[in-house]
Amino acid sequence: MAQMNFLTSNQMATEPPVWVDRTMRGIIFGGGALVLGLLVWAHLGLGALIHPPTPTALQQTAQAGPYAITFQSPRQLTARNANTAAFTLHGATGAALRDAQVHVTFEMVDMPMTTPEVEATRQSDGSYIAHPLFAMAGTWHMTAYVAVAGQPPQSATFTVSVRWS
Amino acid sequence: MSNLAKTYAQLLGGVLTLVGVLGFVAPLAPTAASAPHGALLGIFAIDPIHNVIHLASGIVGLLAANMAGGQYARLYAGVFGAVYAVVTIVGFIQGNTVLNLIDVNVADNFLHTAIAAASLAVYFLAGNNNAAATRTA
Repeated sequence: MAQMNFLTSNQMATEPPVWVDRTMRGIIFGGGALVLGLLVWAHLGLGALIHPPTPTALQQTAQAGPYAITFQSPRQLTARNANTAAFTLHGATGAALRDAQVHVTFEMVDMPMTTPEVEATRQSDGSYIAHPLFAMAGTWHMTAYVAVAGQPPQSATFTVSVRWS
Repeated sequence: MSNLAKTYAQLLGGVLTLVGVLGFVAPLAPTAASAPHGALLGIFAIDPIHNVIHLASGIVGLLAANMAGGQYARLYAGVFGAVYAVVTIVGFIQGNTVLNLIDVNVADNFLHTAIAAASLAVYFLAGNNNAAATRTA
């Protein structure tokens, strides 16, 4: 019993003051909440709900080697929905390329995230249509890779904004 | 207080603080197609938010290990173990199971898993040690 009392008083002597106890608990629980909040915020892309990315042009043209690639979308791209991205290709002479293979990759600018690449299908009007599906709103880099038989592959990257809705 | 928890908080706090600082050092985090903000040592994808997260986790760990004789180290292990466990679950759900769309860096997910498992193990082991010490007394 005496030993118990000694240990108890010894333990009490090492107990921190109340303000230290409260501060440390606040720091640990507050730090945990902050880390959890930041991680959830970052991984779920919630920032785009409050600050949607600045809309980008629905039509953009970029040069990929000798080819001019024009990207067009009928409306702003959105996350979790099927989108339509049309690409038209023109060669150095200005003639439309109708016999190319086009596939498109996506990479989020704000964080290390990709989404599956898609193959653009050739249309009768000479354009190539892809249906990208974005997991998260934000600013994305969309890279179109063009392969023409007998020619070296070329690519061009477009910056596009993706909104939640 | 537990020496195990205190040592663990010092170790984890030091490593996470170092990782957070190094994340801002560009040569150690070269950019790549899969990690536009860089990958620490070429393995762990990072970005400014994750650097802040690592720094915050590390600094709190160092405080817990060194304030009041390390009495808060076990609480730190428990709280941050739970936090990283939630993050791990979210990360793996995002990466593989539900959405099947997002390619969050897999190495990061395994790192979160290791931190969560080790922290929770320390929390419960340190608790058992305390209980044993009390019983011995």
